[in-house]
Amino acid sequence: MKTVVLNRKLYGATAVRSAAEDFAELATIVVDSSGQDIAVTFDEIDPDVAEVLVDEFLNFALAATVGGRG
Amino acid sequence: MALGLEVAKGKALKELQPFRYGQLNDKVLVTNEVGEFALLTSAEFAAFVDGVLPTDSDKYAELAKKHFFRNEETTNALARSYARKNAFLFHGPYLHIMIVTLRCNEVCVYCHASRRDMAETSFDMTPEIAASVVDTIFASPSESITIEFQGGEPLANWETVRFVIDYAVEKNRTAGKRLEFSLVTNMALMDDDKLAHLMANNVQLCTSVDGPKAIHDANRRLFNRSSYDEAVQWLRKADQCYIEKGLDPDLYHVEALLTVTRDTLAHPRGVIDEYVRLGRKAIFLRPLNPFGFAKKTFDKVGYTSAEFLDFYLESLDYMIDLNRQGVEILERTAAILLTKMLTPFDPNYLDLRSPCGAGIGQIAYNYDGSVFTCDEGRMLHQMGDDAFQIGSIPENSYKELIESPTVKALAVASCLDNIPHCSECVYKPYCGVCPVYNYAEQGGVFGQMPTNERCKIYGSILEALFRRIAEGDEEVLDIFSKWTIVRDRSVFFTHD
Repeated sequence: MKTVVLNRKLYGATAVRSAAEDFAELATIVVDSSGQDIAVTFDEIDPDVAEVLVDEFLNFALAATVGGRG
Repeated sequence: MALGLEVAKGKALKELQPFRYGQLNDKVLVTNEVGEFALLTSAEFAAFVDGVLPTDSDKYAELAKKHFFRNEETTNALARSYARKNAFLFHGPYLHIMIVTLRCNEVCVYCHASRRDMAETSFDMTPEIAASVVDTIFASPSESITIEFQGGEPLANWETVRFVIDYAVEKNRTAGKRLEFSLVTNMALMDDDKLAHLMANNVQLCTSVDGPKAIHDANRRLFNRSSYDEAVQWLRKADQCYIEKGLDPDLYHVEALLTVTRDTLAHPRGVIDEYVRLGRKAIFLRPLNPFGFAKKTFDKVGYTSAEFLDFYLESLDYMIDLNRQGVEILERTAAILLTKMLTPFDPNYLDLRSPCGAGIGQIAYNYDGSVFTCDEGRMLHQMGDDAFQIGSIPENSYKELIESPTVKALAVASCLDNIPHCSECVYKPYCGVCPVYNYAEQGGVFGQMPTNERCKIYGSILEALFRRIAEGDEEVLDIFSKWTIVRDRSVFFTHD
């Protein structure tokens, strides 16, 4: 299990939740945006993508934020 | 860029390496991924992209030499050059900015750092936090480490400055890195003992000189004294110390830093003459940052990018004229860009590279142990915005700091290949964006370049330099070439 904390001034909560839905087949992803920051917890990550999943997720969420899904 | 040419459809493009192009006077400037460039007439450019440039022409030979034609040899050469120019990607952060205090004895009209009064010692970095910061710094894989003391006025917390120097030198006996110290000071709290300790440890000194005395004292107010007189008095003393150590004064002297305010704009020659009079060899003309206190008072001290560019270009031409007369003075922004344009090397200037240095080239440590991607991010924090904080010391390890999603976001946001406008810009091989600037001025780390003032400034400076190169004046080309020479100042890396 791995948790990353995202500054909501850079990552939009809606975009992060949307990314979590898009990545749902590859891991169990829980997004907690109730606090000052957005905490994203990854569990049961598909072993085939385990090394890159978190970074790919972050890029995806950032692109979604910029793309107006924030 | 529109040139009235149908560039994209010729099958000859398959025979060319990737390139960018743009109009420059009556010529077309073409640049490749590693910054090699050529100036073509419109007819030559059309022939180049259509694959009909005569192979026995001088222009064909120039373009071939500069790897614009695709074959295995040029692909390999470009790959080697690209690796060399982007070697900084594998080094890790080398610049570590320590804000040892927010206290400052001067009041400046443009203060970036949201200064605190001298009595407020709770805004000092303690030796305990400083030790943890130095431990973190030495966890960087970079072979070169520069610890830059900033503030506030760092000499207001001399005990911590002294502790950091001694502790880092001791740690480096086993780490064996190229360790360098730099102290950015207004000099007004300097004394003979402090100067002797700084000199004994080969600490590079940098001080603000905002031009002639009247401008400097108006910008930087010191109670009951002239801030200019203080700066210049200790600048001369420190220079003399370098000479007494047997060091070449052309290489070893106090670096002077200029902050350009609205008052400066009317006096480009006066400012440059002042630097020459003080024996400085370089002047760094940078626009005012829109961070911290300066933003609140921008109406008073600020200016438009167009006003800055008028000032910059007049200054550049004046410096070229001085060099023609044998006066050695260079402009640092131009020197950085010319090094990228005219040499196979990248000077690793953190503000003008892709991706930028935030978190992966530099880290800023605030007095209380909070850690930021860069000093610009720290300045924004002083305004109450923590968007660029990546952790705290001692709570977070170096690995945790560097793996922060914020560091990754800034690397993505400052990679020019990802940015509309930048990815196609003819000046892309030489330029860089600042995500913190974009965030502060345009509301997001991904900048909107068509309305970005920073883009206007650097794009215009690059255009001006290429115009002067295109004019072909041998004397100017020789001056520009001299500005790219990096001279050895390795004494700053020795701490016996």
